[in-house]
Amino acid sequence: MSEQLKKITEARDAGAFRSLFATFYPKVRAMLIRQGADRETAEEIAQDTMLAVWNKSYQFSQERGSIGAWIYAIARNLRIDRLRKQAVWQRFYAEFETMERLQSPVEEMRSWELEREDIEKALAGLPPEQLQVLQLSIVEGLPQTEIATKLSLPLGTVKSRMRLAFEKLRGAREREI
Amino acid sequence: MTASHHPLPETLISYVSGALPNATSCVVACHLSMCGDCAGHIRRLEIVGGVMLTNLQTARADDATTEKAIALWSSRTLADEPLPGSAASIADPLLPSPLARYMGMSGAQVSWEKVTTGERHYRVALPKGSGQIRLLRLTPGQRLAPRAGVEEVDLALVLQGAFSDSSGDYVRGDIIELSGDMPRDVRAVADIDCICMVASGPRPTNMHRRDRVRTGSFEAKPFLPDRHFRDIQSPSRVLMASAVVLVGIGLGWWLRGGKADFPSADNLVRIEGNRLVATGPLQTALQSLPSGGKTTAALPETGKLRLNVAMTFQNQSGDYCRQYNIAAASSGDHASGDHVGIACHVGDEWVVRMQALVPPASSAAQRTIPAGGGADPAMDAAIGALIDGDPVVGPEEAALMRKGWKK
Repeated sequence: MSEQLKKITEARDAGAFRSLFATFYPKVRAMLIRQGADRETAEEIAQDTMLAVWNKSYQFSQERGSIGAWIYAIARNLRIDRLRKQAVWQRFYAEFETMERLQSPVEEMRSWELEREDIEKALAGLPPEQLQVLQLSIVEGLPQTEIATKLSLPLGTVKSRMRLAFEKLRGAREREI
Repeated sequence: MTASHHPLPETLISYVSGALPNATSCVVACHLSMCGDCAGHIRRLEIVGGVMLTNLQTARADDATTEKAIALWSSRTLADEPLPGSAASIADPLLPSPLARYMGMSGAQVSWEKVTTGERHYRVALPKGSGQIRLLRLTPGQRLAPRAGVEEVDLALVLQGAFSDSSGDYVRGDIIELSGDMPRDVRAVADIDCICMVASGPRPTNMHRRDRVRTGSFEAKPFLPDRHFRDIQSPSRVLMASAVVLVGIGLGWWLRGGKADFPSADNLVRIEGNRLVATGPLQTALQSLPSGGKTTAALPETGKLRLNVAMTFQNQSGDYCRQYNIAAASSGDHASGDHVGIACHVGDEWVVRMQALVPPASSAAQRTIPAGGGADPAMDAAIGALIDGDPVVGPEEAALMRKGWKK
């Protein structure tokens, strides 16, 4: 995938972009529908997301870990902008995005490609109930209270499952170092 | 510099998913600008998002869909919103870069409003439904006085100095999450003023999916408006009535010359038929000060006065309107009260729509003018009767200013 993005950036390779579009456009649209968008809105935002990939491909860097993470972040930003009809969050977020990443010595020793591999392994090893709350938050964009309602769980249980999942993701990284 | 107190893991997860209210998100973004560890966590959580997105089981888009979308793009461009990587950072010793950029000013330009002796506030203008962000400034040794609007704090980020409470000591970069009331024993402990960025409401704990309302074609969460904007959205009859009275008294009093220690309307407005048009330093301030900005002017007969613009918004006619404050700079801290008014840009002029005199509170703690935004509840209600849409802030406001406030 990163080879395709490189071709898009350096050669404006339409074929490479069509391949990326065919893969990610349906996924972004599906995620947005899960987040409450109707079909038309989901298609519009998914198209805008992919248009941003084409226009801003030069901004992608490997420290993103994966093209998927970059596309996820773009789609989320565009969704928030549409949802709230205001760009405050996005402006703040864009500012954070542009800052030089402050790396701890530990992070400097590892590539983000390795990070992604570790995260994939850790996700595969998460207990189902922890993976479920993580998916409801990250894929469906639900606030913690709505996750609690959806799963008929106390809010505290949702929080604790999130914390446990977070610690396992972090622990996976630290074990690999 | 490394922070010792960080957002809770579930808060970082909700931040990445975009599920936090604006105000809380902004404070987290500012913490991230000061904390490499948490910035790393965010990167990893976005990788989690990327993995989950990639793993969604969907069919590849067919050729017809792909070609149709690509054909559409030839006739449109993406909205000119900043995407990751498009903004320049701003270095300021006080304000974190995301906040300085959003406010369009440096920490030295913040116009602090006195609340009590030793305590000052500045309210950051946010669109309605976003919650509140305030900057809170305590002199060394000062305890935070509990009051409405301060208790319901979700997150606090230390920007300067240090404070302590029953849970520990907090220095620049530290963040504290509060599930309920602001701790009652907060005290500034360093030898310089303690400045915190605090965010409150709308509170996500009251949101449920079944309560979602449809706005346009997206299910939007019905964020509970904060205290200030609740007034704006639903001005009560009592508030509206008091606004009218204040406007009448304030404007009439002002035009008659005011008090000896307060500038009269001379050199600030001129009467044209049945309209009151801003002139002199008031016109200049309305034309060129960003929201939250302040300036001073010396008038020959009335002495030095302080002007600041608190908010910009569009009225139902589409005119851009600005709320302003005028106070005598030489009469101490609001000794004679502030004039709080609204002027709208019509043609090439700023026409004063209303103005209220907010008298000095009997005690400083009772003052109701929040720093940098809003006025008293009556003026909030008056704005609520005029406003159409969200307040205009940050870069949008700057662009309007450059265009001369044309509709």
